Amino acid sequence: MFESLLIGLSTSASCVATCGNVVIGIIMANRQGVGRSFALLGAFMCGRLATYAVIAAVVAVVSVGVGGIGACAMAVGQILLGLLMLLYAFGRTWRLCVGHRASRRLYALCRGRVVAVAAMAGLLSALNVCPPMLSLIGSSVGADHVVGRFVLFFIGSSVLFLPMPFIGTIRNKAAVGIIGRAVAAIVAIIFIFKGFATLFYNF
Amino acid sequence: MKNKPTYWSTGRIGRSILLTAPMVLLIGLMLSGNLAGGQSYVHTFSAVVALLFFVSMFWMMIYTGRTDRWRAVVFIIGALLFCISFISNLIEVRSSMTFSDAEQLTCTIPFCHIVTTMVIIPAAIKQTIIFPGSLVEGYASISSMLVIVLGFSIVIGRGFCSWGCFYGGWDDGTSRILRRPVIRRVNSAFRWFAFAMLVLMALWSAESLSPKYCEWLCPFKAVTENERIVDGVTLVKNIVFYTLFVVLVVVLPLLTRKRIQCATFCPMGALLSLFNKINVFDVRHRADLCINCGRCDKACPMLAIENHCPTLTCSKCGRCVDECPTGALRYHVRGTSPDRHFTWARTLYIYPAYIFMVTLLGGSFVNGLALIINLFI
Repeated sequence: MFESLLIGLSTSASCVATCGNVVIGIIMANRQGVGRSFALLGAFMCGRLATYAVIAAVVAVVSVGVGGIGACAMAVGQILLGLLMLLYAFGRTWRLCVGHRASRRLYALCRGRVVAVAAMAGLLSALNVCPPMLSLIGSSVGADHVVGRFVLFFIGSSVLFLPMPFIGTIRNKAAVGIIGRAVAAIVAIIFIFKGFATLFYNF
Repeated sequence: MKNKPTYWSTGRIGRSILLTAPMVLLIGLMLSGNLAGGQSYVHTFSAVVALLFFVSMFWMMIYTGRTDRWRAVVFIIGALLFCISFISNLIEVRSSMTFSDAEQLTCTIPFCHIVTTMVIIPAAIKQTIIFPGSLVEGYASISSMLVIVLGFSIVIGRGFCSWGCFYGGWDDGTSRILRRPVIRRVNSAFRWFAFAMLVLMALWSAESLSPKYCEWLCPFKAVTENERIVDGVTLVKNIVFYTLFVVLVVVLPLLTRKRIQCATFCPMGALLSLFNKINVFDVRHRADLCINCGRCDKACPMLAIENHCPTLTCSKCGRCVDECPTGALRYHVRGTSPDRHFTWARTLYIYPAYIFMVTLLGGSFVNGLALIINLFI
């Protein structure tokens, strides 16, 4: 079972590179202190853990790997994550497109509930099945303690996320918020593109 | 109105010759490989023309006291001749501008400085260079480019973007075509977009272990080399390259008179901005001389001036220094007084900057010129 912890630890850099963009975008655009940024990271991690739990349950009960339906779920998750990040990045500046009142509602939906956005982003980004996750699923099919394996993988792969909230130490720079929103916007475009590409290639 | 102070050599022929003389030797040294025996007559002639051109532009910089105008002439012509030389070299070696999987597998792709932003994290974590180029051999090897770019950056910071980058001349050129901008106001906050690109490209490339900016987003693929179109994905990539080139390097700089691709999109520019913090040269603003005319804000092609002060993203091109009517903006060596010795601060800056420019653009300048001359004889 502990091999899943080692898989998580050894591939933590890859996990940060994949999902770290999303966390960085949310934390920088929000421009809060270190404590508040840790809370956002915690919410993101909770969302991620929830998805892992669902995947672990599916693997334990059904005992199958990622197939066509898994790829479809991943693609839909990427598109939804992209839309969420797009909303987060441009919530207030969509006034021209959707009108002032609607823009304020969009802003309140995302920036006003930033912890919920972080949790939702964690939930959706964990659907983005990466090679370490695939190897974990492969080794967990038919094995014992599947949920424990996923939890240990989650712990191992979360280590390199821990320094990210320290971005909060430079929150006083106005540029940090702009860079954060730009990161969120580009991440959104990349995830939407990847989602549609996955759908296109699989179906 | 306060008069703009002049440099020690401005309008003085003798003093200008005195300050230019060492540069003649240095440029001669840089181009000595092209001037040596064994070359064709056309090549030697091109090298002599290049030597005279580089020296005369430097002399004009010293004599007229205007930095940006003469820098831009060398920079823009250098960028055009670089592409001519580079493309002809590719056609000679590969018979086309495109590269195939075979070239990638044999690691013969020339290394470009922008890739530096993407190789840092994988090199640190996995001790791997994620680029299909040669480490020490061949044209534009990884080690030689890294040494040149990092050395350059440590000495003059983001000055690389205005004095060394062989792509920068393209949008510097297009941004000067119209005398007045069609789009008059460009929000300077857009310059932070380049930092977002830096963060994302560094992480995305580290995740996928391939240089994603080069694979998907580099506008200059349109004028150097690009992937051979063999399927839908490579077709989409090429459409992206050419679209970005037209929009970011041609159309938007033309309409705004700003270097939009360099200022808002290039991740290397963002990385080099951080080097501005650690090198000794900067452009200093003197509030006591400033008359708040706003010419510097309008002139700055990199969106780097806020409240008449150059910020982190300044590329030290010298345009604001030239435009300022009272001399409130001037080149400065950190640790010295900005009030005194401003001639020497400028000279100390433009000497290494110009030598780097000749180092990076000189060889391709001579080759490109020789190719053009060969077309007509």
